[in-house]
Amino acid sequence: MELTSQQILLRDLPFDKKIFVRGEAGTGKSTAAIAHLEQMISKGIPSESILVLVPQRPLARPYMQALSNPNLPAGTRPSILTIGGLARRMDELFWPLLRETAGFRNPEMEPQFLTVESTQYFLSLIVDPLREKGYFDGISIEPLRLYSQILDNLNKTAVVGFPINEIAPRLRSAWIGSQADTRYFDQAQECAYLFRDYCLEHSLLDFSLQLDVFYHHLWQNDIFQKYLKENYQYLIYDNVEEDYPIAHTIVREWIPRLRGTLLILDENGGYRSFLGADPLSAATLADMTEKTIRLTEPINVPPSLVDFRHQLAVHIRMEPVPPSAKPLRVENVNLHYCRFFPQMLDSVVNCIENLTRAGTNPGDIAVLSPFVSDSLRFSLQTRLEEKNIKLTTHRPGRELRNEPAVRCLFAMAKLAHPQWKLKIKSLEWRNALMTAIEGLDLIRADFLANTLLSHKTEGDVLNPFSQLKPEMAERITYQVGEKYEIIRAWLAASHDNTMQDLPAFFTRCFGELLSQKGFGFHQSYDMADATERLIQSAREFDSVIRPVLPQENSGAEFLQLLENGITGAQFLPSWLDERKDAVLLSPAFTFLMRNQPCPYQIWLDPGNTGWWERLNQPLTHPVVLSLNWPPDARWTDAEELNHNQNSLVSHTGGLLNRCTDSLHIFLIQVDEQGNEPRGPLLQAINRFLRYNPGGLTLYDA
Amino acid sequence: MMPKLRRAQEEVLTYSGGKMGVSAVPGSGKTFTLSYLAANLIQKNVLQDNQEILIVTLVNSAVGNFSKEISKYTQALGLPRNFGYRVRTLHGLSNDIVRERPELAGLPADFRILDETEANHILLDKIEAWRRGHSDFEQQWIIEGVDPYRVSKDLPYLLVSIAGNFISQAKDLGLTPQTINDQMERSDSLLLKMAASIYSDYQLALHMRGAVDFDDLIRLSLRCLETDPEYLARLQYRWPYILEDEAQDSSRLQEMILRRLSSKSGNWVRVGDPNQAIYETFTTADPKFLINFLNEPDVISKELPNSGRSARRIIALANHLIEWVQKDHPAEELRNALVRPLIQPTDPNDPKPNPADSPNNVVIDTRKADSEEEINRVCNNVKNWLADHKDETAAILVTSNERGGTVADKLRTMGIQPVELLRVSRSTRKTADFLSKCLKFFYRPTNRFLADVFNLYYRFQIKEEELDEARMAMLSQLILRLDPLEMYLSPTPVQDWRSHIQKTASSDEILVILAQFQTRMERWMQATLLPIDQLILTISQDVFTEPADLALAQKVAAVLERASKNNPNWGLSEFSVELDSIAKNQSKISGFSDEDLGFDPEKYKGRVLVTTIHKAKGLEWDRVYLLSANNYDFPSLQSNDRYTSEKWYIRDQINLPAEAVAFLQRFADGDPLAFFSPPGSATLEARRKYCAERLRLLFVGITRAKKELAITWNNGRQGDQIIALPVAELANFVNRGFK
Repeated sequence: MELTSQQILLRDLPFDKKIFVRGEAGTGKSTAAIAHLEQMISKGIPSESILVLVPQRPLARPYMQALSNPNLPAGTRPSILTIGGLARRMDELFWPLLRETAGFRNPEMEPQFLTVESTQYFLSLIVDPLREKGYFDGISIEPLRLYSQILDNLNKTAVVGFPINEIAPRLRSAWIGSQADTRYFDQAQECAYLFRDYCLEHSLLDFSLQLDVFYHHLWQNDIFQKYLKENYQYLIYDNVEEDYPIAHTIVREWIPRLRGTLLILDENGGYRSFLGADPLSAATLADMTEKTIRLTEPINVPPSLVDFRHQLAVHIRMEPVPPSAKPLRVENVNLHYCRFFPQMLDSVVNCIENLTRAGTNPGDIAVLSPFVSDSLRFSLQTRLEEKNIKLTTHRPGRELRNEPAVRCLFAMAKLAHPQWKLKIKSLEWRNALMTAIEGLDLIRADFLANTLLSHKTEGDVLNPFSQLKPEMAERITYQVGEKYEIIRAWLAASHDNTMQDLPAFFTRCFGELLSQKGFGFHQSYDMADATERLIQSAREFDSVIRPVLPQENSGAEFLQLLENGITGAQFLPSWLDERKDAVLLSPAFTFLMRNQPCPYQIWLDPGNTGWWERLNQPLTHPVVLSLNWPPDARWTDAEELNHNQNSLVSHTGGLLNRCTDSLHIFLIQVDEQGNEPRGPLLQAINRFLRYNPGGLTLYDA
Repeated sequence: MMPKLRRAQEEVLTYSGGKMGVSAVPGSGKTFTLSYLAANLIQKNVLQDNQEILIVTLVNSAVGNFSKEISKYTQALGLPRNFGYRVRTLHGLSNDIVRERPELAGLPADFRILDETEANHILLDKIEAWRRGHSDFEQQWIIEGVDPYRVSKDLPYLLVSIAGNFISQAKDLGLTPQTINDQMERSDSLLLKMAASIYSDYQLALHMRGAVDFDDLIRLSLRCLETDPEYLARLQYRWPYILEDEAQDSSRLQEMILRRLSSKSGNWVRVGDPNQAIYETFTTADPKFLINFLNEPDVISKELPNSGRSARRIIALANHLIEWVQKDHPAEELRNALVRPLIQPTDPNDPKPNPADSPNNVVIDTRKADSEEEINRVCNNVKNWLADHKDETAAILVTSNERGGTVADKLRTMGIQPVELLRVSRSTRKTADFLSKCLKFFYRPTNRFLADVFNLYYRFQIKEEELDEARMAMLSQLILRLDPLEMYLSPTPVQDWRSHIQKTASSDEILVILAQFQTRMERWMQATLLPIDQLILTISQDVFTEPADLALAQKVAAVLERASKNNPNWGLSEFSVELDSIAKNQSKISGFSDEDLGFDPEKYKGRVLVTTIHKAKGLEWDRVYLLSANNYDFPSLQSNDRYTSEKWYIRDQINLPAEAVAFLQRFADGDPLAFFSPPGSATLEARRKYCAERLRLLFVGITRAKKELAITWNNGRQGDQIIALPVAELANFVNRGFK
């Protein structure tokens, strides 16, 4: 892609300067920064001395792609990290320094770095007994949500930089509701305390503690600073507006010690502020640099979409419209009216089919919705498959327990470990057989499961195929019988080996048995992907959770936790399945964080209130627990409205900034509850239409 | 386009602000007037462009009707669709209020609302657990020597009814489980202990699911408005006018919510008919709220007394019922069950003049009949009538969904395809039944279950009127004889089901049908490995073509997916049971059939509709049959009357749900001995309320008829019931020549 004159200027900046770049979304800042990075490497700056810092991993993708370019000189590559990743890496490396000074009560214990799921697991050990005692009794909330809100609070203390004991007072002083309800804030704080205490006792480092320890105990350490100076001399820090205040503090202190820096800020960004990102503190980093450059040359957003963006912002904020304003006609925004949700999906698929028939590459189409449920993905995917159009999704990974491959491996594990006394239902075994044996149908699998699985007190047992009467064996077929016998023999052998190590069991079961020719996982990318995720989850459980909770049946415990949805690598985003030949289905927010333009956007159900980002939660509050919230101020309805309006303006503006051809909006008239949706985005669109009659092209499904 | 209005309607439409109460008789054009009033206000530019007129109504079907009417007017004004108004049921409104600020209600942003099926499941689970440790409850209440098998079949549902009503009432009164438990510690009432214990467990189960039920939703929306005055002010600004339909069925909380929302603007119009209050028993609705409102000093009171719906004799019959109840009902405590105004016919030049009377257009059949005979008589009569009235509408109105199902079945055996509008609509039941049958087959793949699946699958493939039952039966027989089954569904390369079938001489057409079905089944069987919601969606997308069926399937998928999340051990058989309860009319799922979203009888000319009187509210037909007018379905506080809520196996004819609820009411009223009163008085009070409500139900039933009305009765299961007292009086009135 050809660079604009401003991008060329940026690319060719001297490497030993400290530069701050800002500009609106879509002005090509990241592209220019990547060109600058390539220039640095080409001109001989040692790659290992360059650190690329991004607020979250998806934003690293363009850098990773650029660095995989074979035209770059061979050798090591710059590190690309988030602030959390950097903290974790350094905490691990400098653990001998930290173990004594950072408050860990058993310094001899090796540190365990927790993921989101293992953090939730340990937190559940603390919260569940308290909930049974009546904590949070007036709050209607699922356990996983409860844990995540307590962790949100804890993470805010680390990313914003305030002590744990300020959680409850901050939330309490902003609360306008009944005073009796403020006891829940105290309870949430108590849980955070107890959890921190537990972590220090067992040398467990969750995200908040990783950052806390890094900044408060490592960052000021001379040995560490020496190491840092020797290793990193150049910093490229992109999307600073999406990062936490603590990251800004660290970078602010770091800049004077670096040879060159390039910091990039998107003026329309700040989408992650609900997670603690702080665009205001990001902007102050400019003070630490020698020069600020503002990129103004826009990329290819059609002028009418720019007009629509401005108008939509006015109507979302309910601002007055000057009587003299000339009605607008936006050619490339289309509004499709549908009655029910499935009807809307049919219309969406027709629209996509029309676009692709007219020569649009499916990869240039993004379907965006506030949420992407499994059933939405599935419904759209099956409809598109009928038209031979591929779909790729951007959404958090599915729950592992729902994957047929995982269920099959569970069943295998139960049969291979009769000592766990985990019963297997014949239906469960039937499904496992259908998954495990290529081409096995439901009826024959049903015969096998009902005739050859015996439930015994010492555990469930598989009987040999030869035990069947010949007529039944013939109905099932001897080919299937042969495969069944291979499975039975493999399980018996693994039982004899008593493989206690569950990750190893899954690995071998996949490698030696299920991925072999004639079995269900053979050459199946999906099955391999699910197995990989399961092994990763089991490994995490094995290395982090099992040592802390010495139990004989830890494998069984893992299976039960996973079956109950407590754990299961739910948080691994499946970024890798992105394909250029497929239509993208993504939550709108995730799409924004991907930071890539897309010519054709399809917005689903603007009447859904999910488009209207909801900030407040019963036990946490992203703004009240942020850097800029004045102590003792109350979070009023006006604040709420203002914040939500700004957020919707920012999100829709961000989407429209990334739309380079046209937008299709699909409305439903009756939602799941039988109501007519009336969300704020729809209201804003209607208000736009009122002031601009005929301003959009309307279609009826 | 100005529609022609009656004077009373014009008066209502002069409204420009303040509080107004409108008493509207049946057929006086309430929906039309309110819709037109909303459109009128929008046209007068009384709204800022970020304001809406809020219309609150009772049921989803009315939402659809209002929306259709208002959008007709607003679109004619050149406004965007759905602009300037919002129609909501109380639940829908509460959902909007809570969803915008859930933290004020102690809810996470993504809180969910339990469907009735799921709520009942939780209740049943908790009740079973409670019963295991409390056999003393049954010892205390169940009459010794009654058939334990029959009792065991009914008792769980009675307990669900007790607990469900208790919980509903407690929430309406703002009583938490903790408040009740603190106060009743010293009480020795097992009934109360049971209800309070289930309430605690149920609420905890909801909390752990991050969910609320419909009663919570209403309670919590009020809490949001009370907690944050700024939020309230914002909503007051958003909805400067509130128009409330069916206000006679308003509840205490509904009134409190709407009173708050309208308190700043003072613009609140309530329209209703106290004579049509038919949701009082075991809900928190009460017509007294409307009656009291009408008497408030700052309320402009109007009437819509004219009705062009019914022929004059039918109006005379309805009016006579009001007058007789008020003056001559033998139970004095029921004399205020129906109130004036009487229905007035329209002027002759009215755009909707009353239909002319025809000879014998009002018939009250006083002949004794048993239940079956009554249905036979009505069905035969309707069959004859339909033959000559292709352009007219007819309805059979019953008192229960179960009886409605029996009537519909009978009609089908006579070759008449009725339109059903029962608790769960027929299309919803048909959809649920098909999906349930599929799951049953996947759970236990046998020929019998496959034939069941095919039977329903085939019915979805062709139009109802083109269905050839004989061919259907033949195809089912073929499927039953497919042996081995896998030869058909998953043949090996050497197996050929076609040659097997051809031995029994089948046509090519039959083979095509079976081949299509086989392809579908193969795909669905493979899909059994998917999560339950995806399995349902896979099947649905292959079978259903109607948008409403697809929408319902999407909803069913979501319900089952949630059930699976809450019950990780559930498999195909449990999901199938869940669907069965919907298919059998036992559980309601907020459905999407056209019936649920706004039913138009005029679309079904020349056919007969079967529905309950409750569901018939707001609708009208040329010819109406009103069944079961006996002293069980319409009791009158007479010594020989029996009451449905007083179970035959419970001691002293005590109405346990009513007694449990009465405890709470007394407690909320500040009675220090609320939890220590002996049972009995609440049972008697419940009888009075029930009888009054049934008089109003009779009134509603009568006023559904436009041209012709027939009322019949039966002598009940035990053969000892008699014609209902008010119906006997109406029969005399007819015999006296409507004098």
